[in-house]
Amino acid sequence: MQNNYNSENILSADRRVLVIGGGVGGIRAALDLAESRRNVLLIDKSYAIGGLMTQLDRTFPTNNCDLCTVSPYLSQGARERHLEIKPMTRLTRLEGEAGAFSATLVTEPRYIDLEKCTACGECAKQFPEAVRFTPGLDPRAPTCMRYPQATPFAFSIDMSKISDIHALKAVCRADAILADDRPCEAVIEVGSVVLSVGADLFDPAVLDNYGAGKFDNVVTGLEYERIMSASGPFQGSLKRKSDGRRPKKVAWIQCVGSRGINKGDVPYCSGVCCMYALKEAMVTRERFGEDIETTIFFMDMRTHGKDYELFFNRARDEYKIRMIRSRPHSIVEKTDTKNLSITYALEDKPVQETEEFDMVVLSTGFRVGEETRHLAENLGIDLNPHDFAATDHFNPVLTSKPGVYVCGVYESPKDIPETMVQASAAAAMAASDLPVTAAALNGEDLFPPERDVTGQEPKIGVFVCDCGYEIGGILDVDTLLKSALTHPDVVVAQAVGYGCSSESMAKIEAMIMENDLNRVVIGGCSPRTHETKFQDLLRRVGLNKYLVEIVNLRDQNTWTHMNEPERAQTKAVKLLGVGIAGVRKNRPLRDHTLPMSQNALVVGGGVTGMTAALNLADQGIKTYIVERAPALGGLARSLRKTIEGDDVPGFVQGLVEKVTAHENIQVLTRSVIVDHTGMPGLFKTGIQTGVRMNYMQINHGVTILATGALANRPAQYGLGALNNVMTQLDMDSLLMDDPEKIKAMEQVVMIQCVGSREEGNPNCSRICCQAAVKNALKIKAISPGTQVFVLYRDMRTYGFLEDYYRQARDLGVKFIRFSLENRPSVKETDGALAVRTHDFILGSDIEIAADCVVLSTGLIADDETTEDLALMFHLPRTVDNYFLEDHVKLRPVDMAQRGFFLAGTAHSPKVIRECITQAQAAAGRAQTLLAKKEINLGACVAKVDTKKCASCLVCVRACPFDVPFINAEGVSQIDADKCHGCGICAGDCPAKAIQLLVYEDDQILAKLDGLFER
Amino acid sequence: MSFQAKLTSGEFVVLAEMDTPKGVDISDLVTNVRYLKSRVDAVVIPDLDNGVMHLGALAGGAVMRQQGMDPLIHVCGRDKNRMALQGDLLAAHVLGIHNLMVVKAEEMINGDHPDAKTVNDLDELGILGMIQSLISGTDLAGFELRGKPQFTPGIAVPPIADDTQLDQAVADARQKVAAGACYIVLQPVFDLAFYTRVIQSFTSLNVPVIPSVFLLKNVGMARYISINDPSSRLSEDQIRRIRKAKDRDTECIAIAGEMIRSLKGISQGIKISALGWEDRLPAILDSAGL
Repeated sequence: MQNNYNSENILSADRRVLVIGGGVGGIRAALDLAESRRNVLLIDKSYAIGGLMTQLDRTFPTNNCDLCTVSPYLSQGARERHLEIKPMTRLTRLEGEAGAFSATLVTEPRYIDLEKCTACGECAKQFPEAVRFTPGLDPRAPTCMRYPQATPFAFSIDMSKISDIHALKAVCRADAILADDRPCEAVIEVGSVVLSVGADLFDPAVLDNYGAGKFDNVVTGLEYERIMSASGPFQGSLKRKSDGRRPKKVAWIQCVGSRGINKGDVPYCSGVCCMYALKEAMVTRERFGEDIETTIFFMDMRTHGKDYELFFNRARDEYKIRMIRSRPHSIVEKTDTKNLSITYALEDKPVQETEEFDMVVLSTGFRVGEETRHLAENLGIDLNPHDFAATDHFNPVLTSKPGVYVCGVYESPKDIPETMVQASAAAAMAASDLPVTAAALNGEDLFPPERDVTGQEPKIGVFVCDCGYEIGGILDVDTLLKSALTHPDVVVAQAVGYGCSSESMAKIEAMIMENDLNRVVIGGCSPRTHETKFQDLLRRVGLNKYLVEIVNLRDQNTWTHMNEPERAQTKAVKLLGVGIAGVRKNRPLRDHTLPMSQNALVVGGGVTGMTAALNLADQGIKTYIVERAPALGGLARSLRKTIEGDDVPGFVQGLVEKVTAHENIQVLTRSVIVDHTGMPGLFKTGIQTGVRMNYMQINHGVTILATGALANRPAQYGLGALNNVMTQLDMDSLLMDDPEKIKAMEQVVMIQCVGSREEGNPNCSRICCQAAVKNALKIKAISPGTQVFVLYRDMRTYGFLEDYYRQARDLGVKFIRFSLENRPSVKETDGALAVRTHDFILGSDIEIAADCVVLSTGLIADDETTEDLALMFHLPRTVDNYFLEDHVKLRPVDMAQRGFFLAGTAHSPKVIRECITQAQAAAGRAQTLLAKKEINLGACVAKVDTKKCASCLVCVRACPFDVPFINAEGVSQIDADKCHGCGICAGDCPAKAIQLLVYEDDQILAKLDGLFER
Repeated sequence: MSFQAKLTSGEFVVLAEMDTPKGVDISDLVTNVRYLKSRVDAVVIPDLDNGVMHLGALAGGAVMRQQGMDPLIHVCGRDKNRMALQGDLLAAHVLGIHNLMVVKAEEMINGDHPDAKTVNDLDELGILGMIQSLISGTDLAGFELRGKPQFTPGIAVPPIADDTQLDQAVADARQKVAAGACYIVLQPVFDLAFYTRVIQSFTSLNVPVIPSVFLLKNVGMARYISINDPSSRLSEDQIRRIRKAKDRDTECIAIAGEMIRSLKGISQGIKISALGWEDRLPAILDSAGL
């Protein structure tokens, strides 16, 4: 970045991005923006951020607990210095234009001073009805402090339920009650807006046939999550609401209120319910007993996400979840048992079935709420027919209003990974509307210069947190402090309550200054989560951050020995002794840093690669695109129209022209990658380029994998052998090039899932159902008289694609289901094609004459290429050879290997607009890494005492990273910028000539002394 | 024995190709050549090879000389007219560079300066004639030179995909041998059976025939060659062999080594290209038993 920033940058430094909605999407967008050094204000109407995800029990497809995975994001939110969070706040007006909006915000009174509240819980104990708090995000909050990581970490008061304000004020020891708190309105300057408001869940009580809200044992999917949750109303045991009994038979009914035409229904598909029902059924059997019978009533099983088909297969085959393809007619409650009897019809049986269940879960989907409609009005954005935000077809995060971006469910119904992708994409787009903050350009040194403490006698301060009950309830903190004072050099020993609260931190800082301390011991929780926070505290008072020791009194003592307080006390004294003895030997250390390369490498020059490259290049990042084909464009080159009717070749050509003309993009076509070295931020990749395969090396800080997938062409149903058997891609071209040929066709048969959802390629290719519907609609448009048959297994027109599916049915396209055991067959007699298939409704085989058979062949991973790249870059792959991201739920574009980001069909099959979004997300995530400008290698590196080194080569041989070498002076040399700090050489060196900084021998010995000599 | 002496005495010659850097940091070049001393007879330095701007071959050849290695430089007419070519060749002699390979240069459009002007004042035959003229002590304008340069010129044969191309290539090479070419360098060999015939065909020209061996680096590169250069005749079996190998890097070196061993029996020399992985040339030589 240039240092001669002009006045405009400084002025606009105050301008920020406004993120509306504090669910996982909003949090991701806000964190991305903050990490790429943009100022962000995150507002949420609720009194704590977290959104819907924090109410879930577990998440598919890994079925992990959510809170553990999402909570670091929540607390991270509070830490970032570019990020401000305003709960209980709404936007009431937005004026101006992109880059220079002014937003009017109204904040409801909380009646609690966030700076002072320590969430001690006293007020909640005394006034349970009037105090709101969501630790573990549960209504039973005040008595349940198992996951106290709500952000902000504070209570809020419902003043309408308080009669005696003085009594309330009296219980608060922190003096945090603000009785006179009022709603306040503020107008702020905003560069751009990210909307991540999500949607409401449908309330099925409006339907009269399923008894929701009337029958105790009929619950919604989300209520069932709460019932199963360990932090839920039944403390994690599965119970019926009517009698508290454990159910033996649970049924799920899909598409409740979705994909319907009745009163109260919406026509679209909510996209997530199939997966959550499968998950809930699996978790039910796994956690609550194999004897519980689980049944899912569904219309089409929509498991179209990455590896979701495998999840579905597991649910059916391993967990023996019963799948019934039917939309039940109604539920009747038995008056005596409160059991529920479901009436449903099967497609191959003329009479209705009735079956009794103990519990019924209604899989309800997303609805846009009234409040969101108002917000859209205030923002002035267009809506689609379903009241969701209307967006650009090729760029789904763009709303109709420039400068206002949307992500998550409010764009269209979607699951968490897709929300995370869109959030990062929206953040990347929003970031482009305002410059990097002046502070970031300045190098952002917020800390005062460090005091030199070398040669000073240690003056140690010991601060012990009681962490509410967590430590203070088990240990006698005062006695502990007295024992600390008996150690030499300990000048101060103080209890600090919640040491990590802003108020306590300020107290500690003051005490360090007053007593001129030069060493600090914190007795509290885990250094894993809190060391950075206290290291920053030291830096604020001018001390080197390595002069603090964290003693883990909570996780490793009071939590583990909760029932033995006396022995816990003895252990606490010992542990504190270790910390005090250790800190005495701590030395100020300097972190090693290297300048980060500000170049990016994009592997693959399709739509995904080009989109990512343009986004990076527009932000001033020199970007290389490596493409093996002679020209840019990738698979999109073989596509003509999207389902929305947009022109793909024109779009691709536009991208190619922009990319080729961009001064920050270097395009390397006919190029393959052959080698790769370096570390995140400083990679070096070798490529062979051009017809003659010239070798060159590229230095880059980040890598985006956009290598795409291959159009599958399996030799099935006569593809490649019979005339007029073609793929959907072929049909897409034919529709554009030869409409006359289409008009001459009387009957067209399409076959779905060709080469997908079967052995060899078990996953769903996601794109083929919409491709079939798209082409069927187009055939009908060109030639209304042509009969179109679609032979399918499950129609997976997720989200608003359902509209097109319905339109096709309305136009007379015939959809006939088949099963894997009963596949259709194609035969040619005298040049005429015929397709034979089983019709479940007729109960017999039928034969359809076809002028043309169109196979939905989908995508298949480019095994050879992903394998080759995975070996060079050291990246993991899925079983079906796509790249495997770091966390399938929460980090869908980051690879586990830092510096690598994943987008497009190299991740999993997806349509163009989804590829574009993920490309923007990858570019945005890459920028958060590049924004750091420096690679911090930490201070923990091996150091050689050259006087002691005997050049015995032990370290040279022991190092797993080949770092040590014998230098010109004939002694071992270990370069700090290469050392990984593993300490193996330090342990092996026979002359003890190598010390691992931060863990030097005398420091470890001092700690051992502290442990054993008292 | 020098490269030139080995050629004339009919001994097996080993050439290794090394590209000059794009830039002026020659440390890799110097380091890599040190490991090749007394293992190869000459190092081939291409000149602005593949249409990519590099440090010029004259300087590269001079660096080889400094390191005690016999250089062999490319000569082509794409970038220089006969003035510049003659001047540079005289300079080459003075710098101790006597081995030349006359090549048909890659077209400018395929290089990294596609907008650069192509010269093509002389074609390969013209250049060979020019070299003979200089050796005999006269420049192309007929003026006498003060001191005669010494050169051993050879030629590189373009890719040969089939028998028709083979016949044409032999006919072309025959003309060039008549114009003074002392040796013939063939394209990288992946199909040994086919190239055994190719080598035999060229042997009729009575000059040493030197096939090339190319280090494949990974599956991606092998696949790229098989798709984009059908004349390479790189087989699916070879790609499969790399894919199946436990250690692909080592396998690639072994494949190159095996090819060199096989070619040793049927040719009078070998040119090894590592295309940027010159640090692995010693390992390839080890694998080939050279």
